[in-house]
Amino acid sequence: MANGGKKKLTQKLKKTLPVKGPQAPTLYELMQWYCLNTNTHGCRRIVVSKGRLRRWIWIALTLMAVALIFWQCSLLLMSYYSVSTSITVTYKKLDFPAVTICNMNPYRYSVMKDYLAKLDTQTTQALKDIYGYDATSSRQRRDTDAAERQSDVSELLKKIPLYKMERVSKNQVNAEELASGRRSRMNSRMIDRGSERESIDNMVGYKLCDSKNTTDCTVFTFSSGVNAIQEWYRLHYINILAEIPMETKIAMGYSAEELLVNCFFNGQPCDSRNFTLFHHSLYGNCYTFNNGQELLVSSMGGIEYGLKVILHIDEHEYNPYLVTGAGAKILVHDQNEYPFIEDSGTEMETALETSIGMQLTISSKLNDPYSDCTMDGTDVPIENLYGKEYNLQVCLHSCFQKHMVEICGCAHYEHPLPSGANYCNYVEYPSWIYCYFKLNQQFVEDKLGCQSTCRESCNSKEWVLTRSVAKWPSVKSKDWVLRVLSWELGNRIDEPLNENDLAYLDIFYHDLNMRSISENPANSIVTLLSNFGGQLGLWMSCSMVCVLEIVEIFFVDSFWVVLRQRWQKFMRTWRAQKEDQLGPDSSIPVPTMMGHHNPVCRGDEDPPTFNSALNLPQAMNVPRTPPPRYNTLRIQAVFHEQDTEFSDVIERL
Amino acid sequence: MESSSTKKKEGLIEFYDSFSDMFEFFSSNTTIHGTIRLTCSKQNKMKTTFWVLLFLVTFGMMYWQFGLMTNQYWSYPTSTTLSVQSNLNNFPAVTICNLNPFRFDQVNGYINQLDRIAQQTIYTLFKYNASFATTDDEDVLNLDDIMNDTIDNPIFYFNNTIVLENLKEEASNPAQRLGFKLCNSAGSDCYYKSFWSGVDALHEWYKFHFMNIMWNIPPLLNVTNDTIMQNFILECTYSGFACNESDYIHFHHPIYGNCFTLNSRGENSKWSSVLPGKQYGLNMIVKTDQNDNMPLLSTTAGARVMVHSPLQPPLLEHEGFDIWPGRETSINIALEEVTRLGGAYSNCTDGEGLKFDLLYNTSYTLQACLHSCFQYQMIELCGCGYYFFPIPSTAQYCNYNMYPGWGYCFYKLYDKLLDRTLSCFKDCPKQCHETMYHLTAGTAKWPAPESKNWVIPVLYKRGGYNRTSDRSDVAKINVYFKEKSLKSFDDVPAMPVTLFLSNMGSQWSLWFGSSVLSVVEMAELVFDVAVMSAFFAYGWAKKRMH
Repeated sequence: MANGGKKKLTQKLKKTLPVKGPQAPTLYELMQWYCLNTNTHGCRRIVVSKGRLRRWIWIALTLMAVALIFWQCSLLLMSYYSVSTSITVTYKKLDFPAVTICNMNPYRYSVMKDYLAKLDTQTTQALKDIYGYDATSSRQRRDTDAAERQSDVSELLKKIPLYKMERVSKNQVNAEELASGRRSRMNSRMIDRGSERESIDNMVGYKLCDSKNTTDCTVFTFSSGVNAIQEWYRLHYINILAEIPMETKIAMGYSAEELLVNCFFNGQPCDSRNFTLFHHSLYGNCYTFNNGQELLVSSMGGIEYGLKVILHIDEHEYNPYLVTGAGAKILVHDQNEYPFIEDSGTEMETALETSIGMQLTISSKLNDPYSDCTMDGTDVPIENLYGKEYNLQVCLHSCFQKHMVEICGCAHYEHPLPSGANYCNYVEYPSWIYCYFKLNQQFVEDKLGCQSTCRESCNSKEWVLTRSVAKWPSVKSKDWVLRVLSWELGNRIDEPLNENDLAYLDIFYHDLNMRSISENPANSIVTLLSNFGGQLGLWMSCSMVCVLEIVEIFFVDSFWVVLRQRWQKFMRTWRAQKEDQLGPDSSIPVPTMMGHHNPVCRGDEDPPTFNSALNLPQAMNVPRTPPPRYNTLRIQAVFHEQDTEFSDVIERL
Repeated sequence: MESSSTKKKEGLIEFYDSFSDMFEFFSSNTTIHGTIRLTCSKQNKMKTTFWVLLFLVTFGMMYWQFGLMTNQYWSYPTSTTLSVQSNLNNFPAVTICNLNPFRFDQVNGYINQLDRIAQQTIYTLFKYNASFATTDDEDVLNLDDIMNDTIDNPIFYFNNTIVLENLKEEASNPAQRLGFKLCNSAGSDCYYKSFWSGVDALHEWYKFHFMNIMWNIPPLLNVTNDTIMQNFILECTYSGFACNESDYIHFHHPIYGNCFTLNSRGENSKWSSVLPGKQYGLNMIVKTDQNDNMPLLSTTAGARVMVHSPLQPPLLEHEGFDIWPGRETSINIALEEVTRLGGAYSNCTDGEGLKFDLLYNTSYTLQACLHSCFQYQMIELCGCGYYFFPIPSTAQYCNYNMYPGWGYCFYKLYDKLLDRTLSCFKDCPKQCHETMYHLTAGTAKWPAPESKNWVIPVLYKRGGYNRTSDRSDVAKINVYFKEKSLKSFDDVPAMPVTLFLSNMGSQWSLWFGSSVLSVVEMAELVFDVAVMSAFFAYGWAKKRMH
């Protein structure tokens, strides 16, 4: 009968589909059931142990194990973002780095003469007055018109006068202005390049005043005259240079043919076409080897496979006041890196052969959240003014220049020009020097915040240099070498060459071993989960399934049991009230046997333990068997339904 | 139906009824895999025996693995990790010496005598008339001028038996060798200190006599009078700020001469901001005198520079390098730090646990420890201390007037130091925390020929000198960091306790599927067995008594 079948099906569905809550009537039963049937170690012993002391000890041990698991897992989580560093040494053909070569003197003195005439005159005058040193006799090329000197006290000295000082009392100094010979007493703060100095006698300095507030002045004094003269000269020099257009400056500097006499790379000749021009603010025209499109590669290590250059350093054309050292400066860097020669360059001397061996180390770090480095600088709020790859120095210099433009209104000559700004000079920005010095002091003391904003770069290439020198050319070979080179330089030089005019440079890879230091995350999700599993297993032999079991029992079932208990209590009181009203003879059945006494609550049909698998008797006390209850032979659930409200009334005996 | 009132009230502590009961309870309720098999198939004796054997074998395997792991753990292995950071927060200390020691008024007479003997020796050995005339009064200093305390100078008697002479060797080494002979105080045994080259021979012989002459003057003199500074350091700036008195300490060394240590304690906040680049480093101009006060004692002209950690003693003979006069030397620093684990992991120390006190008033370094140990041994063996190492306050420096055979005793001991056979090498462990400064230098001519004309007179005007403008009288030194990066090598334990426990736990669950709580169950079993045996023994004894 189809109808009958359908009814059976629906009845069956009704019986099996609804999800009933946990059968345990009380929390205590629920816990007991859980402890007997779980796979986690320790819980079973709580229920099964004889003696209350044992039971308590086992409870304590289990809780301690749980606490240890939590502690260890939190330690694992906290150290999740740690790195492991590995160094590998590989041998392969290495790209030759870019080598930037500069002469320490920026422009030929004879060409700059016109621009610097006034400045030089004043400098020699100052030297004569302070130190009694008369330089005019050795310089026939300069104008020594005494009349001109007397009448035209240059604006330079008027703007930034040079003083010779001697201290009278703590805050007062007798100063003699060198240009006019005027003596005065000064009350302004004495700063010896940043630190207050106790004794200044016979010192030279210059005074800078804020143009808006001419009483706010600082005198910068120098313990050594050399420093004083050089700094004063450089201030004026920068002002003069800032007004000269770039093309003129490039034309005034050394050309590639003048600086580089001879070139050899990896056994093949090279020439000035392999060098790209790069104009530096302090060193004039610099030439960078291997900075072009096609990168040159070193096929083997050793001097013969590196770069060999002969440089022509014309010491006669050196500016005597601007640079006091003579030689060349070189820097080895990556093609995408901006060469900060004044910071990291290596000096080279004339009349020597300088051999520089290189060893390459590449390091890469991991950025957020492993460490604080930045991959390419895009997340650092400072604008990169150099147009090349980001690194810490680029950031620091750009940051300084940005503050300079903001605070002083103009850009410092030694750094690149940001868009919309101009280089500083006297005419438009009269008090820029004072502003610059104050800013520099703040920068060094990290009050500008540049050091904290700028982060290091995650990837870096480092060439470790080992330098050795030897005399070149040797006494015996000097004659022919100098003659040949003089002929090659041809009409670019006035006099025949002297060994002090040349420097020989070798740059090469020691060997083609490249060290790479890389950071890798020490933990991945896989290792984290493995470690979790290890800890869970070690203390309690718990697994993910057992965790789910705990979640089911403690968070879902117990909640449900408590709710049901409250509901039943409520129903009981309500019924009791009704009974009072209706009388003692009520037909509403009240279950008298609850929980523990209900023999139905005992016994597992199919518990997941070894005992059942082997059909062993239950470990707990076997109950005195009651007479069989035939209506309950078809029990499927563990706990008999207790919902009096929503299902059939329990049949009882 | 059951009522709970019939159930016996559970006691606080309960034990089992019998051994077999306990064992069965254990087997069926424990969480150690395999134990159940020991009791379940009681009928089948073969199966039970098999399972018992298997259980024992597994137990054995597990304990074998435990043994291996514990061995590994107790050997305290370490592994080194490398990290590259960029937080430099201290400029190193820089010590500069001018390689030109002073002649002191108090002992000048004896030094002159020594010079005359040296002249005679050179003539005898090399047939050359050398002259070491020292008549410039400005080069002879009175000790009282530079120090605050006065030193008395006892009379010194020159020992004419210690002369430099040709030593004829046997046929094994036919080359002529030079040397001097040192005998012990009894005169019975003599030691020949021999050299290959005359330069070395003269230098060591002169130094030996010099040590004896100077015995009463402490080698490292703290100079308190600063006018001497201006004669050596003409200019000094750090990061644009001038150096002032609080930045350096000034001392005089008998061989290296006038020495300064800048940033010697690392406490001044000025030196703690480190920026990369030449203009933010240390820039100095020093005077490098070519006129040696004592030409036989130091043959190098220039300056000696040593870059070291702020609280470390500057041992210039071991580290440091010479600066070329007439040059601008730019020294750039790359910093590396090594941290080792102490305690059971490796034998290192940072000053504690030493058998003796360090004689240097600074932090611990291996060299300082070796020198102190050597000095203590020397004082014990020879009765007096070696002049170039510091001495404790209770001892004196050696000289052949008061300790006649000290040279013999000293050189024998010193040879042991050079051969590394001295026990000091065991008593001095390496440092746990070491900072290494790797230096590379570049030089350029300074001053340039065009600038030399005005730079030299300007430099000297301050000192009041009127020297000729000779470039080789001055040198410029720049010390700075090229990049702000620090490589640090740290030792970490390769098997910390957590890893050890994890491994043990893994072994347990591999062989038995058990965890720590299962081990506690086993402990409970053992405890129960003990208690039950005690009960039975007590009961049996009681029964025997009756």
